[in-house]
Amino acid sequence: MKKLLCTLIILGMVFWLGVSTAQAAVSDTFQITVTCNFISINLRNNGDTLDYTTWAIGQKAENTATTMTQAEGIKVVNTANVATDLSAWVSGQAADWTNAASAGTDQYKLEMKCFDVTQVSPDLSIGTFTITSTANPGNDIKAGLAATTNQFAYAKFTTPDPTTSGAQQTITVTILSATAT
Amino acid sequence: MEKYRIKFILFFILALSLACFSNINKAYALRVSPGAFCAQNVEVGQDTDTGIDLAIDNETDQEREFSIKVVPARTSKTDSLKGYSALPELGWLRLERTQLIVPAKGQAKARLYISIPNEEKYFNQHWVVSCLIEYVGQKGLFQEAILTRYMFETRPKSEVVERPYGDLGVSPSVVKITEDSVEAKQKFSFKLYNNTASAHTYTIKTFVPMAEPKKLSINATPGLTWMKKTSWIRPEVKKIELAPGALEEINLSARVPKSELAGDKGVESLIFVDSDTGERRFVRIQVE
Repeated sequence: MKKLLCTLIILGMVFWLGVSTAQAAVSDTFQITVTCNFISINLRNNGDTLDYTTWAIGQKAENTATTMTQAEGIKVVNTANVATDLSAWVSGQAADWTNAASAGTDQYKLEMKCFDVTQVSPDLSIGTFTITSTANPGNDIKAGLAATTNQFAYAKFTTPDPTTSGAQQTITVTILSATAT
Repeated sequence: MEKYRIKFILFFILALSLACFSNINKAYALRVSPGAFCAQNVEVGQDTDTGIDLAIDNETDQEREFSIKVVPARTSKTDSLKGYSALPELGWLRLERTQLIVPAKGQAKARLYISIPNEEKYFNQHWVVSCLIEYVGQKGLFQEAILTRYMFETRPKSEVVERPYGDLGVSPSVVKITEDSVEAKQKFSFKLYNNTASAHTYTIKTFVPMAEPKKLSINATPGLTWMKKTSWIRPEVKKIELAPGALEEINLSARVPKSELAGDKGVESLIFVDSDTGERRFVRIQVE
């Protein structure tokens, strides 16, 4: 029988913990077909030597766009055995700023773009995805990523214009891997 | 708001990070299994142990804590995965634990249970729901998360006293056909319910999922294979309009070559019912 390579069929698994209250007869058995064994994701530095840690943008003027360099890029190691979609959201917000579709008063713009290979000079002038979301499922950054295929993700950050705070700000971005639908 | 005048004082550091990660060439920091499954014949009115553990693997050198939340699934974009609607109550899918501490280079598990209330309307349903697995606290500037996809098909039932749940309902959700009845050229049928207060038009077609390699699709029932041709199952109507609250019996004919049913073999196809609202339901047609 033709099935997905990853398919594992668990036949005849009948687990009835609860007490039957509704139906006197059960003619069909409870069956589970596992159609995707696992999803996995690992965010690594560009050289794939360490888990990804920090992108220190440094001191910037208002309304200034900063793009990750090659060395600052994120290697998204994907070993899922089915196609997946990648999305992102700001899961830890800055103390005084929020993410938005464009830079504004105390609003920053965060864009991301994925490439199949590492980029010497990441071009985020076009084709980026703006991360406006702060919760699951986030904003798509890569749809239909083939099984066991890695990506190189780069970010572009535009500072607010204007800002009411000159203090250091820190955010956390969650990158989600989900089975492609 | 007063324009902020002093430029070049913004000190923006996207920082943090918990630790040094000394290990190189790690295959994954976060792995969740199973990524997707389909449970069929889920009983109504019972607390069912699925027998499936949601397992989280942590290949790093550090203990990590993860939260597991039951959340709505992402909307399907491809035909081969459409037809499941959102689980009516997220609480019906229950985890043994919703927070797991996973040791370094270790694994932790939580058993999955599904509990459908004891109401007739919940038979013949196709539902989908997801589990979101995230780090507890911050792991780094960019951190991983995983969203699973779990499908539940409640037990099919032909004679239902109550109308099926949802704006668009079918009963039974599985039509079983024997080889003998195919030879006798018998007709088969299912009921289609318009549970809304408006008239709607429904398109009815036979469908066999043909997923691209390594992409998710609706799975064939264990022990059966997909039919090679959609023409083997023919609905008598391709389009039908139903008045508010109406129901209609949809007749089908089956022409499956005998060679496809030799021995213990059985085949399956789907009948898709698409509402003009964009909603979809399906019926499994099984010939054995």
